[in-house]
Amino acid sequence: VTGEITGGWGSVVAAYAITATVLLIEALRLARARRRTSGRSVPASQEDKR
Amino acid sequence: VADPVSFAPASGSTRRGFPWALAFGLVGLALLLAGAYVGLFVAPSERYMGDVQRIMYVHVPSAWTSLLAFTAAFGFAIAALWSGRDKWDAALVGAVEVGVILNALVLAQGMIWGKATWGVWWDWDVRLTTTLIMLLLFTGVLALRGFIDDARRRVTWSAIAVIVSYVDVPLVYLCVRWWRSLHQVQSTPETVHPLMVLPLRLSAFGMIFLAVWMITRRAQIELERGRREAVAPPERLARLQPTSPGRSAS
Repeated sequence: VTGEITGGWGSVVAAYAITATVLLIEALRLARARRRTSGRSVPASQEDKR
Repeated sequence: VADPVSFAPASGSTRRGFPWALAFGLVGLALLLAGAYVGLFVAPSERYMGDVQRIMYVHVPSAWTSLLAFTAAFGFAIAALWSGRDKWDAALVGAVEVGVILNALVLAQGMIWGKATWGVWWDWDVRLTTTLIMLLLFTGVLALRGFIDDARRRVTWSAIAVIVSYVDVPLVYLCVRWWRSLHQVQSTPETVHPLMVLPLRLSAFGMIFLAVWMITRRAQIELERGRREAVAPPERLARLQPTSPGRSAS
């Protein structure tokens, strides 16, 4: 522990960027998973005919 | 697309979802953006740490919300054990997953802040260590679920694992008061400038609202996955069989 402040806006931007990126990825993951389970994709019966 | 199990028709309630959840998510997003704006451009710099203190406006809300998510998971675990209903198990999964994500964010933000102010990325300080243990414990809960095929046993063991893991949560919050710690003790609004309290509150409520949306979404997905498992075991088992005897012999 140095007791000297070395960070500035770079550290702030890094912390905000990591937070925003992770939350965005999680939101997209949830949205994508919801689409898969919403029943709007190709029904199994039609897929079997291909 | 060829997975028939994935496209079993969703039940009406699951397809409709929870209309209020989306509103929570949108309000949360708006509050987070407002909190970020006020925290980055309006709030004054801290006297000793300078601009790097602005990390507080994402770090503290993430920490509060992760503790709240784990507390919710604890409540869902008791409800799941008490009633055995799938909806509590699904809510438990959502709360634990969101809590783990926020917990990991807290550690990442804290390491950046620690490097700037303490001069080190990590210290085996009691607050940091208990927070890391919390992450490992609840990640273990999610891993445990993957090892249990039987749905009933999965509900029971997940709930027990969450209840055991939750022992660490009050420890994380109170350890800075009980032991000497490099990490500061919780502040109060009386000791913080009003322009610093505002972005903190905006971001905290934003994070909580967003977490409610994420937990609800994840719970819906888990419920639907459970229904598919219940109605389509033969297809799932069929996919595990070899496609032809000739191929397996060659």
